[in-house]
Amino acid sequence: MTEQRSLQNLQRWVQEVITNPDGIAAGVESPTARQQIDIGAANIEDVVEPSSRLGSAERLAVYGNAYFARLVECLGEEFPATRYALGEETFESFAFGYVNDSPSSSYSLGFLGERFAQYLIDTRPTDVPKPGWPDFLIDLATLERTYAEVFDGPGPENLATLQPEDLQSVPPELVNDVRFVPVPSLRLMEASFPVHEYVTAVRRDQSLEIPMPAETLLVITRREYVVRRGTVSRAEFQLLRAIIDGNTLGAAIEIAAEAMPDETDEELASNLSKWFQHWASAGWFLRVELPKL
Amino acid sequence: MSEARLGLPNLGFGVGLRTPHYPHILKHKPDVDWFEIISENYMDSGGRPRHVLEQIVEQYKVVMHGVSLSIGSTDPLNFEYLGKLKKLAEWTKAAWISDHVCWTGVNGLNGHDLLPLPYNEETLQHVVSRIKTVQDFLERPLVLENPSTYVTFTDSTMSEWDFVTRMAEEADCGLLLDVNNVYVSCFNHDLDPEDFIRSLPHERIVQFHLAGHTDCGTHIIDTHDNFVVDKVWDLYRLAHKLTGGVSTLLEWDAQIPDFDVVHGEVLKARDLIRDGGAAPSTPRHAEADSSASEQPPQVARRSATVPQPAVFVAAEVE
Repeated sequence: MTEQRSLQNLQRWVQEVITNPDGIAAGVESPTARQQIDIGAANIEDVVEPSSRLGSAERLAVYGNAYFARLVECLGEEFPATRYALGEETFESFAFGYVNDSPSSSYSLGFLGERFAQYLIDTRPTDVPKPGWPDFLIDLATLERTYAEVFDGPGPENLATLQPEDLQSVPPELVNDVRFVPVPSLRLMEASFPVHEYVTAVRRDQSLEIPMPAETLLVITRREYVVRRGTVSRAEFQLLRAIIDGNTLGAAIEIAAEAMPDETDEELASNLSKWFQHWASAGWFLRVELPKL
Repeated sequence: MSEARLGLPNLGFGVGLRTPHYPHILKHKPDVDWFEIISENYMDSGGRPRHVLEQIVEQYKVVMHGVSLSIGSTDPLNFEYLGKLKKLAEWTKAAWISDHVCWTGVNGLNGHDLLPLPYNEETLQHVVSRIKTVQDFLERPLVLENPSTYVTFTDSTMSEWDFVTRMAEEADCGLLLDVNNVYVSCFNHDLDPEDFIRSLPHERIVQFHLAGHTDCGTHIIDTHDNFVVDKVWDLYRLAHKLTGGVSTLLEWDAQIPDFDVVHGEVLKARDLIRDGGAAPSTPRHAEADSSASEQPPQVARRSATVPQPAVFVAAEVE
């Protein structure tokens, strides 16, 4: 045995070395590794023993290769449509960059992909007009992450949800003051491309061309432990957004109307009854809460 | 220790619960002695994995097996994680909780790998102290598994089996003997796997793991993607003889075949013990070599030979 280091020094050194994107030798030579154990790449044997068949650097490379391969593979499983759109090699390059930029700090791989869409936003080429190819990828990754969170997050399965007849029991004079309480899995997403159709096609092993840009307003939730998604109009989306943000129904209608200058009050009002019935039958809300008197 | 195996029962022959098998298990309710779950896959789940587990624990005995306790790390213990682990164990009525003699990261990071420790006095005291803290918190003994490893450190002053023996006795914890991991590590480190198994404190072994691996020629990787090889069956027979028989579990985590194939593999262990004869026949492809072991870091392929653990639950969407 050579000079004994502290366990902490050794662990920090190993982590620096096997997570270095440029490989084991570069990791050993990095300043952060040398702060822990000050050896050069030629002296790895001072820390890691060789075997009869492999040198010390080759043995460490098993861990280095596995680190990136494992996490890239997990990202590929969470973002299958993004991977399909990019192709294996390009996706791996993005995922590799992401893992290097945002290493996991959680005990669970379920959190690994939570910043992947933001990574794509942060690294978006600035010279590509919007909405372009990078925005399609960002929308795809955002939707796939949303699916993952809705799939395994809190859901409505053991909760009573709003029924169509519940709405009829609200006294007319109080309608403007009620608040809708969404199911915990309800999410809204605004996309520049119809990425929901693309994701579904990929999951069904159907080949698809990259779609043309089109405003896509998605409602995502879960029923019977399966993620469900649908599209809504701009007016319905704005109203849902205002309601989910905690506004009373009356305030939400006003906000939605202001955000939709081309939509007349009459047009908005004529749709409300139809939407409320749909929200109730789709299980998007738990209940309506009457104002406290 | 007052009782062998900490008083923990022999559950028989179990299978690692994996998502591709959910529909089969729920529909056919196979006659399996017990299931082992990956703790981290259910600790935060509010969706289908948790719903399925709820049905599983109603019908089967369950053991919890973790991959992120990081008992050997020099980072502080994560008590939020331990709290969730304890809560899940109470909910599942887990027969015991296991993890690995390893560390998974430092400086607040998790590499999601089972990284090896240097086996010396400093590490021993560090690990023993942390096991005692965890056992006090969980209010139950911890069962720790020997990982497959690919490096050894010059800082080691004792063998892995001496380290594990002293660790188990000083911390008063149980051991999960992964027979395949013994074979893999001993091949990689030029050691005799029989020496390893003979040198352990057999009365502390609560559970066996069996799995397949990938032979890369210069080293073996613990991939859990194939049948158990004959040499591992030979070691299993030896371990069974030395312990008198303990709960046995088959892990299959990549290229997962139908449930009946996985279940059939662990039942070979039952037949081997019952017959007391030769190792079960291993399909020819189980011994196949792989040349895909050394990937350049930038070219991490989906089909790469990735050591376990790699546990991820994909969403189902309609």
